Amino acid sequence: MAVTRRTVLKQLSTAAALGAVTSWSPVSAAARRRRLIPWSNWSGGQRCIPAQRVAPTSEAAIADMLENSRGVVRPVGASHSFSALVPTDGTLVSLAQLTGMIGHNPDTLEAEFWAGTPMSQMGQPLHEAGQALVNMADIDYQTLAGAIATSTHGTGIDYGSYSAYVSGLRLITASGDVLDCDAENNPEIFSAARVSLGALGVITRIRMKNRQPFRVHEQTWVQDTNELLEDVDRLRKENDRFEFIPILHSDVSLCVTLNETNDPNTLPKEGGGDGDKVSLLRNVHKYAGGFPNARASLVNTLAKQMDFPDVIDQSYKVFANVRDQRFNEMEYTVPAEAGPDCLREIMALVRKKNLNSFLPLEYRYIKADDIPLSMFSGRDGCAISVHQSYELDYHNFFAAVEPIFWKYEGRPHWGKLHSLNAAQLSKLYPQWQDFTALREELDPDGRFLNGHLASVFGTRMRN
Amino acid sequence: MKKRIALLLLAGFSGLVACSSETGESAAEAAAPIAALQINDPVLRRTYESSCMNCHGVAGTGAPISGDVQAWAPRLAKGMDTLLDHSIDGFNSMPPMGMCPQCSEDDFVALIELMAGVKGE
Repeated sequence: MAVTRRTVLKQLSTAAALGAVTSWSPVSAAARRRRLIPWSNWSGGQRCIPAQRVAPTSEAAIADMLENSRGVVRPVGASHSFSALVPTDGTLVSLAQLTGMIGHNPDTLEAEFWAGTPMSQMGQPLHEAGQALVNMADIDYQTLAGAIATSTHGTGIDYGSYSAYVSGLRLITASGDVLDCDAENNPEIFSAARVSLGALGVITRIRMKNRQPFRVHEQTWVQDTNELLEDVDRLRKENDRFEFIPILHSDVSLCVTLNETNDPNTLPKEGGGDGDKVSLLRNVHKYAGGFPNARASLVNTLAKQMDFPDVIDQSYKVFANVRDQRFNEMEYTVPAEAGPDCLREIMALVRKKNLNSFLPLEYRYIKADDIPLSMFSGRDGCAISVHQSYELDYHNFFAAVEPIFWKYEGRPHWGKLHSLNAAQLSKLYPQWQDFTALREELDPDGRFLNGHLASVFGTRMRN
Repeated sequence: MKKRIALLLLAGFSGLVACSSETGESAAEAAAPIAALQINDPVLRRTYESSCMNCHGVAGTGAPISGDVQAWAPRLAKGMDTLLDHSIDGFNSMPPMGMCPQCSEDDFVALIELMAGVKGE
């Protein structure tokens, strides 16, 4: 029988009718096989449709792929960056198959990990090896490679970012060369690669300089933000690690100290995430957002009812928190001494213009380092983070706040949203030219550049 | 009077919060240890450990815990197409792509079935 257009249409309509009355549908089954899977970051704010996504199981496979392929290649970790570091229509290289501890040295207290290891899975093996990371961020969803690529950090004026404790790494360049880098081997590349935005090549192994395991006492309380700012010098000096979380449209903050201790453990840190607290703030925003003074009084009152149990446990069980409420984030690091004035200005602007946001800020201190593209290069820093729930548009809110950071010579967190390009960034980093010259030398064809990075480094995309 | 209004508002907003809590877990439940999911295929195991396990292997995140058949049952009832949509596009606290940037549709189906206890390897 000849297959005519009418026959095909008839068969398709029969199939569609069958699909409508049963759970089986050849049409939807065919569509499911063709489902387009984009890449997206954690917040959903960044998306792309790469030509291919690969997860090599060996360094040799990565070197081979780089040597024998063309086009843009972007390494990806846990997809937790808010900025457009990852998006490409070329190749995404996930390090998800290169995870775990490779080895450790009890004499030097160093340990080497595969670069794709989630930060959440480093604490336990390090503890069993008699080591601990010197400091940790308050989220541990990132991979080790992603964390050092963006100079991710915790808090504590005596402690640097994760990148500051990298003592060695292996880099596979655009040409497929495998370079072992540390203070003695390829020292210039080592220095730059510790914070390199995935722009110098694919980092596959990272050696961290650690310390002996330690226990931490976390205390959290609510206090007036102005009181905290008046007392901030004492608080940051008298506590091993100190941060506070100013609540927008209010006069109060959550204050957190993390001090090393030999006291016995308390109950483990509670799970449960931020859902209840965020829901509270969301509802106040929704129902009282149009009445700024009443809202401030309400939030002040509600916050002061909150109770936070002390926690004492091994460091890696205390530092990280469950962050189950998705958001977009902008963060700048200003010189440490400028932190209080910068924060006061942001809080005043939010109140004055009744800006559309309800998630708290975060205010932390980080020690200076000597890494060319670190936000803490050459100066102690105060990092101030601004968040917007993923359900709300962030553009107007961040655009209103961002100029305040510029006024205080702020440097944007590489993994978080900002609007700067090479013209501004080059003035913020004394070793900018050293880094960009090295990047050009290692990747002359721009294999690791997407549109965002071309803007950041002030160069053209060539792939 | 002012104080009374503040207390009423506090009760009201606290009520809204209580309604918004999906899990209703107590602190003790939230802190309960989780048994590790046994996955023999090394590639699938590393995929699970570097993505899903961050939430589905940690008590108190609000995500249905791997191997908790009861918690997964109402999710499975929505159908695999819906679960795939949620995995790829995100859903409430579930991030898009479930922190697995390289996962294919088949990978997502395999991981969902493993976590839901529907199918072993």
